[in-house]
Amino acid sequence: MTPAFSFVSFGLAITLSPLLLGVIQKTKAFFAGREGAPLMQPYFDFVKLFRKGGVYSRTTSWVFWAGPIANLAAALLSLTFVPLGRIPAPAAFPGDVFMVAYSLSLGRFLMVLAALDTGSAFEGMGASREVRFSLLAEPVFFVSVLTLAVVTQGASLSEIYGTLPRHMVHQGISTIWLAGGAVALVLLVENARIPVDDPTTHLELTMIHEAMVLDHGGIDIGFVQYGAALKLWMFSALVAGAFFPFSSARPFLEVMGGIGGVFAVAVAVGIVESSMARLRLIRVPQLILLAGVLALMALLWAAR
Amino acid sequence: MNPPILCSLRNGETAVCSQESGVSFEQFRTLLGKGIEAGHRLSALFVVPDDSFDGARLVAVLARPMSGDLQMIGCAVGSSYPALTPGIPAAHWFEREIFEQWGIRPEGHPWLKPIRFQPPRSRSGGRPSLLLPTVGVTEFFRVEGEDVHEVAVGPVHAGVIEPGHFRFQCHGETVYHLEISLGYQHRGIERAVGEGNSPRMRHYIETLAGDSTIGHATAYCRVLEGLAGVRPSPRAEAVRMIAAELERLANHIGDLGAMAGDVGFLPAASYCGRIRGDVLNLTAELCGNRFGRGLIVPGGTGFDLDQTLESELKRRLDDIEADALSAIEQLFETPSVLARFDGVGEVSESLARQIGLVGVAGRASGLPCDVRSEFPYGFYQFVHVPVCTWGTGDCLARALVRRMEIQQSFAAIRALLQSLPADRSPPAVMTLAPRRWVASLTEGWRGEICHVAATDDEGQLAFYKVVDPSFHNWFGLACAMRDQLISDFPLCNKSFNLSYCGHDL
Amino acid sequence: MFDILKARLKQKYRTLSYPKGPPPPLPARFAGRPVIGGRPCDTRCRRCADACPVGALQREEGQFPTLDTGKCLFCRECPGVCPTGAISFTREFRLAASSRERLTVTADSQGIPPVRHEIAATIFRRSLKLRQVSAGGCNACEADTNVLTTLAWDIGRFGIQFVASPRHADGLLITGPVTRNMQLALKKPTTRYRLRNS
Repeated sequence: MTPAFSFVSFGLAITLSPLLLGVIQKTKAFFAGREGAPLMQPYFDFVKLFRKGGVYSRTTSWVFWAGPIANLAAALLSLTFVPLGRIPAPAAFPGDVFMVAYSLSLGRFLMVLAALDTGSAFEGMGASREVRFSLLAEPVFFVSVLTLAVVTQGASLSEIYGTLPRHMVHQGISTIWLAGGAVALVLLVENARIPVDDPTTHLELTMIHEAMVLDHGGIDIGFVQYGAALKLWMFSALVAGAFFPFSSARPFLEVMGGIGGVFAVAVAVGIVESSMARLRLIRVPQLILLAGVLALMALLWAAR
Repeated sequence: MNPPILCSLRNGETAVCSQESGVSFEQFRTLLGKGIEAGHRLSALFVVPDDSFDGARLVAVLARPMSGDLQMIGCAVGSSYPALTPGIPAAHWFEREIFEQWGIRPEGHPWLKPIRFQPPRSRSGGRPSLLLPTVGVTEFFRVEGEDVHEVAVGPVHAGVIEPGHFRFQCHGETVYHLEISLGYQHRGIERAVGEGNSPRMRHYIETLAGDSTIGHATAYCRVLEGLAGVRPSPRAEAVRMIAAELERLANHIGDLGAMAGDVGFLPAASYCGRIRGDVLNLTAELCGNRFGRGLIVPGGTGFDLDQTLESELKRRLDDIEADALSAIEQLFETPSVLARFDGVGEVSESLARQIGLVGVAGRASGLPCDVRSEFPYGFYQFVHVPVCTWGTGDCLARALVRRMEIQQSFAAIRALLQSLPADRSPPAVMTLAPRRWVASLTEGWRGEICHVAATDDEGQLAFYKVVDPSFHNWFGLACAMRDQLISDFPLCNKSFNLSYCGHDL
Repeated sequence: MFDILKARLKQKYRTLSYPKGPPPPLPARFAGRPVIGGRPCDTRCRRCADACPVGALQREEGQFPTLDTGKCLFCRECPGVCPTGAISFTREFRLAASSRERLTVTADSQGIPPVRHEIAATIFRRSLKLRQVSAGGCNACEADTNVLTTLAWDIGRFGIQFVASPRHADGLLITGPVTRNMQLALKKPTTRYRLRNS
């Protein structure tokens, strides 16, 4: 596989990730029975937001505006290590899963600081919830990827996902799907989707992620939302790679298959959001625990 | 216009003003205490200014479900009196209102703070004091201690809702105490209506709480009809009842949808939101306005139904019923939704009785309070609508009561449309009798609406008092939030769905 | 999942075709934009102005009355008392105007006032986020604003959305006459507004 395709897939991630949000919205609109926002709505929003300036309160410091930028930078950085299907990531190296997880954590850490910088009780509350849940989700993510690494004997994410289809044929799908299921649950937690969080809610007291960014306006909220779109793309790619491994002799088809998988995950997220209520906040750790159990079972299975 | 000392009235019946000064305060307190103990409800407690001495008259309206009548008790008080609240918790909010409006201090009231931040009203009828309270500035209750923190929300909220201020004393995600501070919607309607014959009176009442237009307008019209001794035609009464049940349907369906939306359950939220609009459109077919403005006028109704409209309503009601019931079924058959509703925001029956909950919230706690069957008025005297109660007092109970009432309302409207009385007489001219008092109760979709009015020597309205069901129930919401998760507050709030403007007036 | 799909089939697709298609049928008793004139008017008669509960009808001697729809309650008292039928309520539901004065209907008013704003129409054509603040209304405005986001009207399809924070918004939607107690709270989020490119 030529490195050119790695860069193509990276470019596609950057350009197509907002469309992912549009696909989720459209899926939800279908289930509600409405026309819903256009597929391209996230792009329209970004175009407008990037034309706007920021609004800053006198009580906030540079931390407040640096947070969204750092978060976006961290998301872009981690994206360079995430493969799309069997196409390796542009900057893959052994152990890059830690790089991915911790650069995302760094971005989150700076967003939390920015939220605390506003001094608002809500943002503090949102930040505390966000940190609590991501703290629980992180080990689950590592165990799931470790399982896949054990199955495939790969060291980097790109190696793991590059050989998944082959291993699936040899070892059966149960281990891989268990680990993939755990990653899928982590996706819901990390990307603030139902049943964990409701990205469309207007109720400030129930918000998790949304509460943290209530004070960011204009271009800053643009950075935040774009960062979130990239993160959703990354996790969707990781879930899609585990569930619908696609291999073809032609790199072009590989790219198309990878993207198809990512959008299939978006549709699945839309279906989940259309068919169940949010969990009580106190039950969210139980969901993450479930993901942890899935990941551990997969690991034991793989290591037997 | 001295209030009657002690009299029992049927709902909407008038009493002649008394010349005497009323029962003694001790008697007043004993009567009230005994009444509440016997299972009566405090429907209204207010002060009527009196120029003849330095003080005012304290009036209580007790609703007595067992005998089906209302008791009006009056007594004279000075610039302060021993508070009733310690013995009768249901008086809590009323006494705060009395203190705020008239400066008459209930001594020993445990929580004497403004409820609306309105300028005080002058007892002598002159200009009110220029000292205006600043909204939201008061001594809020605080929980001290390590790790206890305060979360304050509002007055401007993130959703499309009315303004109100909420302060939570929390420990982590758990709420120890919630204090609700309102008054942002205060427009001075009660005062405007009480000051005599403005041509806008009916319109003020119609927009007192926009979602309860029919409920309040009916109570208002029954006040005038009582004072004028006019009876609307049976057909007008039937149309009023159809409108009232349509209002109940629209709001209950909307509330179930909103509760689904609060827990992020998309299908029921979307469907119910649309169906609510369809029910409002039926009201618009009746009178051209989705909220029923202009439909209820003193002496009758502003619009009538003809044969085509009758059959049109029947046809559309059938469609709406099928859609609504299937959407609501979705809600109650999804385990993830039930898990969110069950056991959240409980108010026990004894607490509900103590603090005087009314309407849906009261019935969900097991109180069989429903003006339609306790003090039937209008066409409810001829068509009985069953009282729907549930015992658990949580969000699930409030949702279930709504679901049952939706079914009852559909049945009631259909029955009415089958057999509408035929006579059509136009609304009569209103001449109000002088020196009369009247109390009128109606069951709005939220609960008991109480209007009390008095006329002066010339037969002009000289005093008007409105008690919206929300006035009774806001404190219930605060109680329901104790030891709950703060993230469940929006759901609890929506399950009560109280009116801000109806409270603030 | 199966139940959800079944219910969805039963509830059907509900978004209106308006504005591409025809508007939904209005109730027969709907009262829309009032018109004045068309019939002669007895210039000494004051019945309409006297009947108006809110003083929305102004009557200058010798001229047709003017009706301020910013005050009008659409209670339809005035056409009822007019002896010549010079005032009537049409079924025109487009009642918006871009300035306070344009809300007043006179005998010379023709059609509906234009409301298009060129800059807003370019920047916010496909994406408009609004923040709603209630200030002393009766909750009917809020109720009908919420209706806009339901299946039938679905303003989301035009890229219009109500957002949770004023910082996320491009515009404010204020409902109600602004009570004294809401003045301060309303000033706070609004004064923060600043837009760089427009």
